[in-house]
Amino acid sequence: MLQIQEVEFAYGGSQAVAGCTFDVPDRKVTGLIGPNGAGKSTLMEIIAGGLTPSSGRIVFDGTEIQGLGRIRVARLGIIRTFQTPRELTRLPVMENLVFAAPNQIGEGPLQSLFRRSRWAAQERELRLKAESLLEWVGLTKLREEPAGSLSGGQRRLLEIARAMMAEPKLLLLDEPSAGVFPAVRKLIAERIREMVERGITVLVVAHNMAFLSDVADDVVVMAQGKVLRRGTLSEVRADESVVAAYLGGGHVGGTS
Amino acid sequence: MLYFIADLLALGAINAIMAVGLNLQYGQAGILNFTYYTFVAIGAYIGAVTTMGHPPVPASEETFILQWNLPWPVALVLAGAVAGVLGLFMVLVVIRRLRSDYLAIVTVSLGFIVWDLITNYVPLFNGANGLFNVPYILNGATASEITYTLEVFGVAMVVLAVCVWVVRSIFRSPYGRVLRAIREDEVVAASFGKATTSSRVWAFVLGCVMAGLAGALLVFYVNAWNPQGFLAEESFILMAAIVIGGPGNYWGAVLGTFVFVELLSEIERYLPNFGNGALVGAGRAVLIGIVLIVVIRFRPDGLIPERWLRWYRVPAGGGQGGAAGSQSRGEPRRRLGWPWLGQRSEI
Ligand SMILES: Nc1ncnc2c1ncn2[C@@H]1O[C@H](COP(=O)(O)OP(=O)(O)OP(=O)(O)O)[C@@H](O)[C@H]1O
Ligand SMILES: [Mg+2]
Repeated sequence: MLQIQEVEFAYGGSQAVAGCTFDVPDRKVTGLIGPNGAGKSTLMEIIAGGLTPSSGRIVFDGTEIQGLGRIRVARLGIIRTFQTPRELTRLPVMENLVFAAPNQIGEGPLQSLFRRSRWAAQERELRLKAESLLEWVGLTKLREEPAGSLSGGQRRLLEIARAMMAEPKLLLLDEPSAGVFPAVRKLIAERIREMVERGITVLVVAHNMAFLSDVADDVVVMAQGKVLRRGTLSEVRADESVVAAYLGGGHVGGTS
Repeated sequence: MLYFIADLLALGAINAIMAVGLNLQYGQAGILNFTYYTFVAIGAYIGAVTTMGHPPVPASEETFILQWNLPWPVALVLAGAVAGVLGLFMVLVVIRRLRSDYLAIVTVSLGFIVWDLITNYVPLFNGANGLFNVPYILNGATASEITYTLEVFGVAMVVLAVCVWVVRSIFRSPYGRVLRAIREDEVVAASFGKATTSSRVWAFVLGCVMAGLAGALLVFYVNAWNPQGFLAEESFILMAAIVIGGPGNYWGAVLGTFVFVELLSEIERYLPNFGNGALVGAGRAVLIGIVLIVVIRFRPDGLIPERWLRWYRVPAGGGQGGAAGSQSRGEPRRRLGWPWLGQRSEI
């Protein structure tokens, strides 16, 4: 589904991603872990089209997508969430969801004025779908609240529902469980597994080992911009080089 | 007194057209255009030179391009179109490369360039002297002053109605939602594949068209146009009206101009002039500043906040629409209160 090949990227002088290569297999959850500053978020940003790698290729469904830009990458079906949730804070929760749906007829200026009946029919369907997604993540009651009034955990859930609304093929989740209560973390893990059952491929960055063991089929460890090791979570945790890398920057199984 | 009210209504309606257009640019699309009045001026000039015909040579020494003699409705449409094209030009220069704070600065400089060009290049629009003897529309040449004023008011209300319809339709449509999304967070909008650039470009252009329409109506009404009438100050005053009325809410924009721009410029007549006429204008500026500060302090979302509008009304028809489409209407008024006080659930 997605191949990352020798990708390099530097912010000014500091090399954040230094020749990173791995595959994200179809219909699986791939966990991406590594100490703080390993370059995980940077890599996610590169995949999502927000940054152009200085070298290397990113191949999605057989086509190279590096440097395409966010909009075109998103239209290919690669949808992401953000390490710090980015809701449209002044818009109601409902609008945050419906907005995310792809191929909306009424999004063109002329269509919005003169194709009213066509987009209205689509809009009704999208709203029903959004309703069911809200129920799916337990936010139905907050439907009309401005998204900025949500708590941290609710925002994470909203981001997941919003990503689902976009009908992704590949979902990039950057620390979806960071800073939430264990109960919500369980719920998020459950929802991610359900996504995979619906045929979505997931690449998820996380630090929490309990969460990873719930969701990840397979784990890629990054350190200093490179892939250090790949395997199941228990294999990886037993690996000495991985432990050493974490001792440089943190612990395996830190709680964030 | 009657004439005074009629004059207030006519100018108010024309200003409201500007406000609705600026509301589309700033309130909806989040584009900070500090030179909106330049587009009003362009509309005014085009409206003038396409209806003035050949200048009466001995009586005046006006020189200007085109010298057409079009029927006024055609001139009106043309004024809107030219302002729109100029807006497209301007926005294509700036929108791709610049963040919105730079955009504001660039709009100011581009406005000064246009102003310089018009005042210094006399063959274009008679330079710094401005245009006068712009013909009346309708039966204005023979009608009484008050009749003409009411007629202009009527025409302006029709144009205003069309503009409000356009902005309202956009506001309630998925296109409007994309504009708001871009305004809230452009990165998020792009991350969901929304056409961020073209969406903003069209909102900007449509806003400029409305400015052009308003400018033409204004010049038909007052029959003259002086370049001093479109200094940067006018754009700032309009912007203040939008902020006070409620950016993002087209009714707020209309209210802001009617109540605020109109009333304050009328109050001007009653301000003490301390023996110096120039101080009156300064007095108005100070008043505007005070009102602005008070509003921003106590009602940061303006007098009529955006959230008072129903977001969407899915048009009637289609049985199951009720469930999802109309809940925003059935929802109790509670959610119209202050933001951030919403209920939190247990999660
Ligand atoms: N915008 C930026 N400008 C400059 N350097 C940056 C920027 N963003 C990240 N970096 C640097 O690039 C490196 C990789 O950062 P990145 O955010 O990708 O790490 P990460 O693996 O996501 O870490 P974390 O677990 O803390 O989220 C770090 O050294 C970081 O300091
Ligand atoms: Mg990160």
